[in-house]
Amino acid sequence: MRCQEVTQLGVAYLNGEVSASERHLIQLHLAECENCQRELASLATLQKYINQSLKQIAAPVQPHPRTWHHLQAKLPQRNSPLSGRSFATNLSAWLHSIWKLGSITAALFLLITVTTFAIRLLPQGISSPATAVGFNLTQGMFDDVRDLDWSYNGRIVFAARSDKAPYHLYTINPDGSDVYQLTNAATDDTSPHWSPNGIQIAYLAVTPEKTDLMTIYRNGSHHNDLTSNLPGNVENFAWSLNGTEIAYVSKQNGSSDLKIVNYKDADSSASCLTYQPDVVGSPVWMPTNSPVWIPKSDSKNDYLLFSAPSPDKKNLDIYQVNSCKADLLPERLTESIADDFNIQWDPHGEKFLYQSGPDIYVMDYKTLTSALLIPDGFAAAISPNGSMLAFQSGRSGTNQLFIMMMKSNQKDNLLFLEQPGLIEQAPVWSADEQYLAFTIRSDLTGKTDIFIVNVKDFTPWRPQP
Amino acid sequence: MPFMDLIRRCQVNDEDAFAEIFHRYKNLVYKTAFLMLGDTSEAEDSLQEIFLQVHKSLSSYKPEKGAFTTWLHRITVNYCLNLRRKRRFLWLPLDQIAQRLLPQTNSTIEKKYGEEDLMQQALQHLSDKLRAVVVLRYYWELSYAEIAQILDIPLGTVKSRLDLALKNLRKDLEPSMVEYISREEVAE
Repeated sequence: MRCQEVTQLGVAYLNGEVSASERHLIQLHLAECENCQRELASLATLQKYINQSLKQIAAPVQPHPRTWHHLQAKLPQRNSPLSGRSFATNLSAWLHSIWKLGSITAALFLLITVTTFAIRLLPQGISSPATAVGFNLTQGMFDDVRDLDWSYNGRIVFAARSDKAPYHLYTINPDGSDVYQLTNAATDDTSPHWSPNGIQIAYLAVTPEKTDLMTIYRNGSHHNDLTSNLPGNVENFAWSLNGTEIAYVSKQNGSSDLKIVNYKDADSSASCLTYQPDVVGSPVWMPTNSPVWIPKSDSKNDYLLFSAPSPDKKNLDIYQVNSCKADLLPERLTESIADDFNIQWDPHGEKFLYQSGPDIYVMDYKTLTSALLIPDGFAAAISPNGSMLAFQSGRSGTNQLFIMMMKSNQKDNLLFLEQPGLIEQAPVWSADEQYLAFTIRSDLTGKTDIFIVNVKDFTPWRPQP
Repeated sequence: MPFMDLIRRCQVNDEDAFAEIFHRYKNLVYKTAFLMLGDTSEAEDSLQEIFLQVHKSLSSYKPEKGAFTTWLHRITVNYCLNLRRKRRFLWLPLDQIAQRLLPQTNSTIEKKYGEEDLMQQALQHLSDKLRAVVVLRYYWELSYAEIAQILDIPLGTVKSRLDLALKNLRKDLEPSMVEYISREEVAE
């Protein structure tokens, strides 16, 4: 036998998985060949090492003590005990089932207590990145979850539905506790957005006939319909920074206009800012501390940015309009040949990001010059203090979530990359910039859940040139 | 109770008997799922799903065709392989992601991780099929014939997959092996 054959059979030989004649030939060869002896000794060590390491890895992990109870609940029920039997048997079965129900209730109560306790412990899990990968907040509570918004005081609002019922609004703490159902109407209640003070929530109430802009207090009181007396369907909206007004896109007779409504005065008619058809996507208020570019004499900073078709209608461009001066025409800020949309202001107001075709661009608001920030990226979300940018990219073949550090004008300091599954909408940031929340639809159950990841402990990483 | 009685009682929908089966074999399923999927919460979910599958298909289990553990191993491994196939996305602990992205020469980061992490990482670098062979051989210490039966592949394929897996693992584990070997020598 030659060295090559011995090496090929080496693993099987060490595992006693060769025939008697092969073993004999290998042993004859080994007696004379030191190279092969060394190779087999090294293979033996490797195998031993793998064996020991695997045992070490698997030793501490154990199934959860309550797995059987979870499983039991999922097992198909046995045939009904009350069918086709005598009255006496039926009665005893009935009494038995009452007794069983009692114990199930007790078990359920215990389970709920245990679960609640576990959930309360979970935020600690989040802060330990070695074990935490992403905390499932809703745990299959709903069939579909969408439109997250995270208030600065910590609660997350979202729209959710189960069993094809209409979407209702809910709020939840970021540790999964205290789920509160906010609306319960026959309308599909979607797109909730916290007011800047974190007290009210504005949202869209959708019926096949009309879509209206509503507001509600976080405790479910003060339900207010802002647009039911106004014509047109509300498509997207944004709170003004002081929370007194809401800018929204109103679609009527085939054109989409940008309007403003005073949120406290439901009967006031909305003022129309643009008569340019087809405002696309959500309007975005300029941060109050932005260095105002135009017109310089204007004392108020209430500018709105939005996407709308270019004059030749070939693509979308970004425009700005002064919300206090409805007579001024919107100003066009971008002129690229790609569609420009999804505007994200840097909170300091010096620049904003936007989607341009498949890429994310940044525009310096002082000089109005644009630069490519992230090729092949989408769903950008700037953190509340502007230090980080979350975005998705399909550059590695599947969509992944990336975080980029925004400080110090460094463009290419991508920090890390996570593979959390198919994120359905752009993630939302917690006010302290420590956590990101997003929704993921499970391939297995088809249900959508809210997940939270900690972004605080990511190890810095520089991309390879 | 004799094992076959237990199986027969399960087959007529006796929940207590099924509970007994679950508790006897939960570790077999859970540990395989954990090593295959690299994540405890996924292993936990899989444990439930696999036993639901076992509950459903227990009536089709034929003792004359092979040991119960072989049958259970087969369901478990197939479930994990399918899960990975369906779920192209992978949850990873964040520190592992950072480590994956860092160039291999970054010694400061690497030193933070123990042997277990390196093994875990090396295991997850393998393709699903190779990982299955490694788990069955080196964790459960099954013979080639048993592995062939579980994975429904020829004996020769078990051999070649194991060779390939070892070749890949050797590359990943070599740095930490040096320390291991010197420790072994001291012990001897």
